[in-house]
Amino acid sequence: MKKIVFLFSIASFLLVNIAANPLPGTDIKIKAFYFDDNDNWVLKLDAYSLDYYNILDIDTVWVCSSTECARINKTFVDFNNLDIITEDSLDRPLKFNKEGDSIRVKFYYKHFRNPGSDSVFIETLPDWYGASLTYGNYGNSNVPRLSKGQSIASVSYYGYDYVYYSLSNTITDFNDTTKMFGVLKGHIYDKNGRPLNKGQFTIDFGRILKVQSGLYSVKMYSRKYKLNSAYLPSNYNSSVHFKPIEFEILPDSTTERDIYLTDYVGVKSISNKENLVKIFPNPVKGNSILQYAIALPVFSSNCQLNIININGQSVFQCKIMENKGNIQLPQDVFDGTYTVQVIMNGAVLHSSQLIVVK
Amino acid sequence: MKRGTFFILFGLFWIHLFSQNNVQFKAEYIDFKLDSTQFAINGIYEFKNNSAKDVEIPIVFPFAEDVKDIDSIRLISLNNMSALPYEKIKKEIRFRLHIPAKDSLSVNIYYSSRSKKKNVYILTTTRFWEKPLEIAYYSLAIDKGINLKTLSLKPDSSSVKYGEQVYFWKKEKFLPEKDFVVEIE
Repeated sequence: MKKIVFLFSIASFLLVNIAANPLPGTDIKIKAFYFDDNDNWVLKLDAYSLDYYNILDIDTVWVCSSTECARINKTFVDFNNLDIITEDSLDRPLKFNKEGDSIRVKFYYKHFRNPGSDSVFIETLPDWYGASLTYGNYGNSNVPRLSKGQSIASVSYYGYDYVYYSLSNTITDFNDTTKMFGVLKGHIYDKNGRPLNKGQFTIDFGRILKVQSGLYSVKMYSRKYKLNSAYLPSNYNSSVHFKPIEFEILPDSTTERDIYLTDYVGVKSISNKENLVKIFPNPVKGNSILQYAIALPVFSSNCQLNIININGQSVFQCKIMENKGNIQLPQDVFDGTYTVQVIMNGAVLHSSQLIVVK
Repeated sequence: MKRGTFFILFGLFWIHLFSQNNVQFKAEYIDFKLDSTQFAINGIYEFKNNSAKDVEIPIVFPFAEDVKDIDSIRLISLNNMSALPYEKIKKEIRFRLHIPAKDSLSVNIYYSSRSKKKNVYILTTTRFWEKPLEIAYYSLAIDKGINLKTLSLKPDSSSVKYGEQVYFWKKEKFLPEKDFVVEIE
């Protein structure tokens, strides 16, 4: 019988190819870490899950310093139980260096469960996924050693650089931002050295920098910074650069630095960073063939290509039904500068200049 | 006492309802392509944040085989046309999506794996998102020389392009009860 099961499994593996739609996952974040009055470390965790059905069961949760790991003596069926963790919560002793160390939390899933389906599903044990942060003299930490009454926390933004650091003298909820921020302010000048009159930028992933009559201010997480760019609000394709500034924000304090822009402020055309869309040749001769290559699902989505003249009028449009193809430019597309847009499901995914020559 | 229990249950019901509708897996547009060597998946997946706060959501994307055996995986945010960071872990990738309040985010995921006699794309897990997909458009291009045996979902239309047979599915308010299975001879 065992042989039959084994042979069936091998045959299934060789003959069946299984993939799946995205699944809602689970995340564990470090809400705060500090040393108490007796120099014992305290860690506060927060679990976030969209996994309403617990299809990704968490098996074990581990806490690690830079040198060792220990397992939390709990089974986290209820994610709200993930709260204050101390050395007593672990299955073995675990120390953190007060002068500087890393804190990492990792967790293992048991397996995927797909109840009610006859689909074969995928085993994922053992693996891990979790949050980490550093402090003090460990690595390139952005926060100093922890003084009494201070704690560090992490926030993440846009999937990049998951961990940001804050210094605080209280253990807080994520929504409670007491003592986590300071203010950066100063004068701001345009590329020609003139005070910038008005504007608004996003700096350091989500902090809003407001400009009024040559002065700016922005509320920022307390830590060390090196910055040389900002973005137009809600548009991470439109960056503006300035001379690099270095500074440290302390909780509930104000730091002053002047900003000298090196770019003109304005919206740049959306760049095609990942080369998903290629339009060539460019320049192209009028009344000739323009070629495209679009590495997106053009069959199942509604994909259009538009050519727009300098007055904003559409001079050509067509539905794209192939990943690669040719477009015969119409005779009334004369020499000049045009904008080519690729629109997918109503959103402009690509926008670039096209030069048509005689 | 009964009244108190009623109010508690009523409150819990609304908390449950609101907590579960914050992030919606709203739509997917997937081009499947099958030839003698590869089963390629090129999909756009659209997520919507219905809440008044920005959210950072963890996503798991399972693969057919160990990700270290897959040459190229493309994961791109179509909102800003930039690659998203992800972790490769055994047979899946995991990544986080930041979706601003009351906004949507579309990601493109492309990868290909070795084609087999039976090629399965699991759709039934969509119910873990609690709501049907508002739009689910699929296409399957089968290379000439490949003989199709069965399709688990009946196509809405088909056409032939450059020798490839292409099938199309256009589903709305779609909570799949079957997976997308392509069997070849």
